[in-house]
Amino acid sequence: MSNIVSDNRIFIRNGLLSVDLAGSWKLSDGIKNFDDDLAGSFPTGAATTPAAVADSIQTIQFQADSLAEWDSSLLVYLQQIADFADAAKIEFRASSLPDSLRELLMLARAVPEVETSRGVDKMNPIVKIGHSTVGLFEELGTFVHFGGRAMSASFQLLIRKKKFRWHEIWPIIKKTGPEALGLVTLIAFMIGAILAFLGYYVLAQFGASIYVVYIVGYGVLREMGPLMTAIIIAGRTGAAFAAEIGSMKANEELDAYSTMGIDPFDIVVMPRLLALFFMMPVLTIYADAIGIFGGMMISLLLSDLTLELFVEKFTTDINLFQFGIGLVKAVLFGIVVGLAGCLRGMQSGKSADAVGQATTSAVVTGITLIIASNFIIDFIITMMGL
Amino acid sequence: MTRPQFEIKNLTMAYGDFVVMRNLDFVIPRGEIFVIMGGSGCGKSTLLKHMIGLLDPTEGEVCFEGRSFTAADKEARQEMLRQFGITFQAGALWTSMTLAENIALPLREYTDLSVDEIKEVASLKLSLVGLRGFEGFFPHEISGGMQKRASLARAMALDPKVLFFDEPSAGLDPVSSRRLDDLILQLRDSLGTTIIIVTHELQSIFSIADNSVFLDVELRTQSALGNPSEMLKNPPNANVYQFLTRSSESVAV
Repeated sequence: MSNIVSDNRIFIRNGLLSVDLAGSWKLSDGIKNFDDDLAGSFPTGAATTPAAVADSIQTIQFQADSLAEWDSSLLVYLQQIADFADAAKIEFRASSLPDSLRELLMLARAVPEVETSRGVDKMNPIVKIGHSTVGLFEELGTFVHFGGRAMSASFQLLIRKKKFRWHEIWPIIKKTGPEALGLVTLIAFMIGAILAFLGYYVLAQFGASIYVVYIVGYGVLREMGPLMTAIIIAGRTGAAFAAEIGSMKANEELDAYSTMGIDPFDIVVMPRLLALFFMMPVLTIYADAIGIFGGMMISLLLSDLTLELFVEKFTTDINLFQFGIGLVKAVLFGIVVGLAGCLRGMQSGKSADAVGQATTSAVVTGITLIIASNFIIDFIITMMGL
Repeated sequence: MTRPQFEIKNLTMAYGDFVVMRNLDFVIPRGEIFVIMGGSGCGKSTLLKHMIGLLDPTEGEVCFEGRSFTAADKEARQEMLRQFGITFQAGALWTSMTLAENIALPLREYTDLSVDEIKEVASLKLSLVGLRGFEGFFPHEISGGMQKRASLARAMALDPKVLFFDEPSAGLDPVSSRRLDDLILQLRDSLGTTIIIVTHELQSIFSIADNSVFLDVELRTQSALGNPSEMLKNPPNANVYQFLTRSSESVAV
């Protein structure tokens, strides 16, 4: 037998259960299990639950004469025994323990366990679906409410009832605009080129490759220019907004504004929304120019078009209206990205984890809403025959 | 005096050219509550960071149980660090983990215990600090005092020989602060843990410290060593007296 001490740890005589704590108790040797030890001291197959032994045992006491070194592993074992004694309503003779052990055990059991509903998460699947549906509508409601607040604040700015905080807006404009130019240039150029590749491939099959001008022109101005810029800004700026505001909330900086009588919405959210409102159209115009340039380069390379022909066709056949649609989209996308970023930041919890979640959620919400609103605008324009 | 747990030998601490404290020289006996005290900005927390290896001294050394901590290689230092438990000023609980997971992490890293055993140890540690049943809570769901206690539970996870506290009562109400003091005393008495506390809370200092060192912000070195109550009876110098009596004038001693 390898572990003699453990096997003979428990003796039961005349209703007295005696536990011998001899030997050393180290966490590195693992933790002994009282239920197993108890089962070992009964005949095989006998029930050793607290209820089953309650009649045959009245008292639990300890033998600590040969107790050597010990650490938490012994305390855990004693906790198991104390819990067992509680459950079986058996006397737990703590006085037979050495002083230091008894004191620690008393300390551990001084405050009763808090009853919580943690871990009880057995929700009916139908109830779950109901909850998430209601949650979705609530989300939508919050977003609309947030947007409404922004509109009312903008109106108050217009009629000069609120202060226009240029010194707050300017640094954000610098961060969202000029610093994003590199990425916008790269993406816009490639998107223009991709449209040209696609247009050439399809149109060349009908011998109409010179019409690639239209694919590039309409494609970039009406759709891809504003859409790609908005997606870049959602990933870059929307995420940054959520993280900034989330951290401010975690540091109680927003509370500090409120206690000074400044609405955090006015000083934190509005400057960010306005910065995007101004910068999105500017960035989109830039992206349009680069995108068309990229498309033109590929068109000239692949088809029989000359530079003069490309410019002539582009300027005569593609009207400013297409560009206008793109700009309207850009403004709308800017507002959507700003709202998603700021809302998620304001909703963020106070932990590092929550700020991370707010950032992810800002990007997901932003991109989803951009694509959805692009779909709706295209649908309306097409229905109107424009 | 019992065998020393820590020896601080001629320690000079500096941030770049700026010397915070020089020529610190004292011994922390085993199983005692030792307080590092002094006014704000005197370098109390800096000293603590030197003792736990977060900062390296400019001169001198820190010895743990007779072995140099500062000169030890990475492995030896890790092994010594495993015998320390540290409670940070703001708790520094990992916010993305529950309290039980916070305590489980060091156990998972440094022991071979099974998942269930780790759970049991974590519950035991939480119950020792009066947080039984809070295993599944996240740090932001409990109060500041509870966070401090949970942080202590985490510090105790590996049954350390030495427990460090950085400003344990900062931000706590007097009652919670008193409870924490009682807990610290109980831990010393029942586990024999050496406890090193950085604080300037006079009430705590007088009620729990066995020994203390006073870091003098003006002299940039230690200016008193011993039991704080004894120091108050026979103040070694004016700064110590001023600090221990909260007086605003300097008094000739």
